[in-house]
Amino acid sequence: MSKADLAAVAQRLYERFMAPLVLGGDLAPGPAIGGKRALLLDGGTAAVDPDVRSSVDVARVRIARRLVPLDTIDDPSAATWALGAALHDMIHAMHPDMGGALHRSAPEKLLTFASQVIDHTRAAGSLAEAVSRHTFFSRMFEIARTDTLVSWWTGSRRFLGTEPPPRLVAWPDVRKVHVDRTRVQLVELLGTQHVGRQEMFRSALAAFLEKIPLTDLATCNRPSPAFVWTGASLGLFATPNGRALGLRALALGPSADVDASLGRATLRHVKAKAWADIARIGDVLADRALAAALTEADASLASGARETNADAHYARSVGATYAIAKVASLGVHESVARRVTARLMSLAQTGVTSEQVGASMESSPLSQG
Amino acid sequence: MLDRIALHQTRLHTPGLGLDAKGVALGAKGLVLIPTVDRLVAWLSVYTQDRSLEDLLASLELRFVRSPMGTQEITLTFAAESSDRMDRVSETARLVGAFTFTGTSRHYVQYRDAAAPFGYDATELLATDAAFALYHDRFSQTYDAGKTVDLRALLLRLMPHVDPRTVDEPGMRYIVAEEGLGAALIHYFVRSQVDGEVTLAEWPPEGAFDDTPVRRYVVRVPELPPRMRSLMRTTPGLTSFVPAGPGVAVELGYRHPVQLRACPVFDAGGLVLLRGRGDEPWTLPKMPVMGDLRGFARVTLRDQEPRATSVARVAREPDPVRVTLRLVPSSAPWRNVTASAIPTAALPLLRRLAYALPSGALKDTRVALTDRGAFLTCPHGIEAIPLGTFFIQVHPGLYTPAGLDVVPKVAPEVLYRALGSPSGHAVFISHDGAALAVPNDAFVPLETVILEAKSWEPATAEIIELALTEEPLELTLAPVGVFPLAGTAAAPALPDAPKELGPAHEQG
Repeated sequence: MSKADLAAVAQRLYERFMAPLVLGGDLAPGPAIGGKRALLLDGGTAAVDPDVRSSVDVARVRIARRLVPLDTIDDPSAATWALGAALHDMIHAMHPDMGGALHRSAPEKLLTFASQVIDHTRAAGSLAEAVSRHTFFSRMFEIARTDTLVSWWTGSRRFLGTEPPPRLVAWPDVRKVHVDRTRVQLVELLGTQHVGRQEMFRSALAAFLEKIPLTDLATCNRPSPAFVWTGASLGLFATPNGRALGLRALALGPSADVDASLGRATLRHVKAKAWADIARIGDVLADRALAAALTEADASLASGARETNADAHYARSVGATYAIAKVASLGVHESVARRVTARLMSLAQTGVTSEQVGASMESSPLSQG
Repeated sequence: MLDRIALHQTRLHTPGLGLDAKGVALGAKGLVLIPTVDRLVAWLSVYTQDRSLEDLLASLELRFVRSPMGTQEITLTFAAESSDRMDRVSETARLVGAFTFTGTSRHYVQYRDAAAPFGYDATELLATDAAFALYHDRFSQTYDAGKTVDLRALLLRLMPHVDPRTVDEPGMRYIVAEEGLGAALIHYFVRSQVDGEVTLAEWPPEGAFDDTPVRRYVVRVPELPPRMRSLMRTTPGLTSFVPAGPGVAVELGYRHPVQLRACPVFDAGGLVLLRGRGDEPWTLPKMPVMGDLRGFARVTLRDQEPRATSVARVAREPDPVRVTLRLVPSSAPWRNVTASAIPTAALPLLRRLAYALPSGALKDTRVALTDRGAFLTCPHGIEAIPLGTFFIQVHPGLYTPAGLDVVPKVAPEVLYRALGSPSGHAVFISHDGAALAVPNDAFVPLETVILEAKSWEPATAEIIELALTEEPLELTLAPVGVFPLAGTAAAPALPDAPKELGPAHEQG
């Protein structure tokens, strides 16, 4: 494969997929890249149009500034190119024409190629790399396809991701044309696939998300795939800087929805008795509870506690329970500490999940010394 | 025997004696016992120096009294009214050696002094029918009343003292001229333009052998010029008098021992002229009518018969007298400089100056451009534009150069009419006397003509894109083609150690 071919692939991937993923606009995947070429796209930035690259960089900095103050951002690394190519093929695999009579297994092959590429890609080795990857893929769950159903007096036709030809919408009054447009989100596109393919896609997507932990945390309130605590996301909280980035990423989403997702993920670990992870999860949740207790007013705290669902309650309760032990180490004034402790205790004693919290605490090896 | 009245003492023995509000023993009358006429005159002189006798005159009575031992003294009685009046009177009496008493009818007890602040009370009254029984701490004496003394007559009998200081006193003068000098005096005053009034007064003959009354001219001069004072004083037959009070005058060079202004005993409608050297005063019971001096000027008539006077007949209309209008330098300060004329050659300077003019000057100044240059007018003053020749507005439609006067100095209205009164024009008179008329319609506001506006060109406005607007992600699909996986290949198999595609993992 010549460098020129790779440059063309990189340019097409960047300008028609990765750039719109950052800037917004039309996302036009295709043709498929494949696993081999995906791993050879490092340095493909040189082939990209400088104006497009400049616009993308500005937008990436803006995205990164939501998490960390910085002025410049690095070009995409080889891993980022590979992940981009993998996502490209994953999206392309859901093309409605893919899996037709002549290429029935094409979607599975593409998904396999994508999974291979994802497997080849190591986890972000630094926070800068994690931020860099996040800047490209932070909006991936906003991908939507507009399906247009055009019905006229003699029939109808559906256009998926394409505009209907003008001739079909001409003379709308005479031909009684009705155009119905529907936006289908990325996760809903999975439902258009058959079950096996859906499972492959979810698996590939989960693996993909594990390579971009910041995006995983920032979009944890997504309906699908459900957020789960992974080694990558928990590893992010292992360092103070990573913890700060991770908490900021969690704070990007609606608090109640984020708590609900975290609660579900935490409960899964509790049920699985993954105690080591639960301690780390507890720390994360404790930081969120402390932040809420220190900043939110009593009224909003109480109303939030009443309105969120059981999963959110669970996350807050776990966090409050772990946070009470941390109040003394905050170094705040005694009156503030008392007030914070009272708030945390009110969260921790929320009736719905107190028993569960107690049971989880009692059975934790940590509590058993 | 007298007892000093004590504080808060209320019981008195002297009849008619009571206590005033201050607790001072006071009767209805006050009485001053004066030993001699000289002392009386002294009392009058001292008292009238600071006070007037007017308040005492109504009840004042001067009377000679005689004691049982034959001594004659003078009593001056008056209504006591108050202890203040009594105090004033007693101070004066003490000064001239008189005694002050107070009482009501017959018995008069010594008035208070320093030894008895509240007065005295006579414990033992004299049983007498005399007119006065006076009780003093050194004596008690009865007096019989004698004849009264007329104050006016007394004052008239008093001879004025010589006082040269009155010679130069300014003010009104009465000059009495003997009949023979009257006319000459009148003409002298008329010729010298001295204002005054004159009357001719008559006195009874001075002697038994005279049948005709004595006539004298009485001239009243409000202000005699100083150069004439010596003449009036030293000319025989002329006697000058200085008014000393209403209805009385004292001869120049003399002064009456009593302040006659404080003794309103003379009729203000008459005139008493007190002469010095012991001469009898000239009295005019009623002032005769006085006439202005100028009415007595000498009138001279021509002796000849009036001949026929020549009567002027109507003549032809005289030729008008015309003079050329000229402008001469004036030293008067410039006022109302509200216009200026800028020659054509200086207009570029006006253009350059326009950049520095304040907005008020631009707004209020009006300009008219002519072939002779620009004429500027500003009702608030044209000094803000220091160019050209300044003009002063002498008439609503007429301007003359500042610093010059138009001669002959006719009224501005006359000058404007002489120039033809061009309506709707403002006339400017130049230095050489020529008049330029500028139509009022030609004046326009300076600010409207001063600016040369450039033509404008339309500019295209560009819409500034919102930098933070995020477009939605729209997945668009293109046909996959016949071979959608053309060119794709699987990734190489993972070795034991995965291919490093990113930086080393950061140790937490």
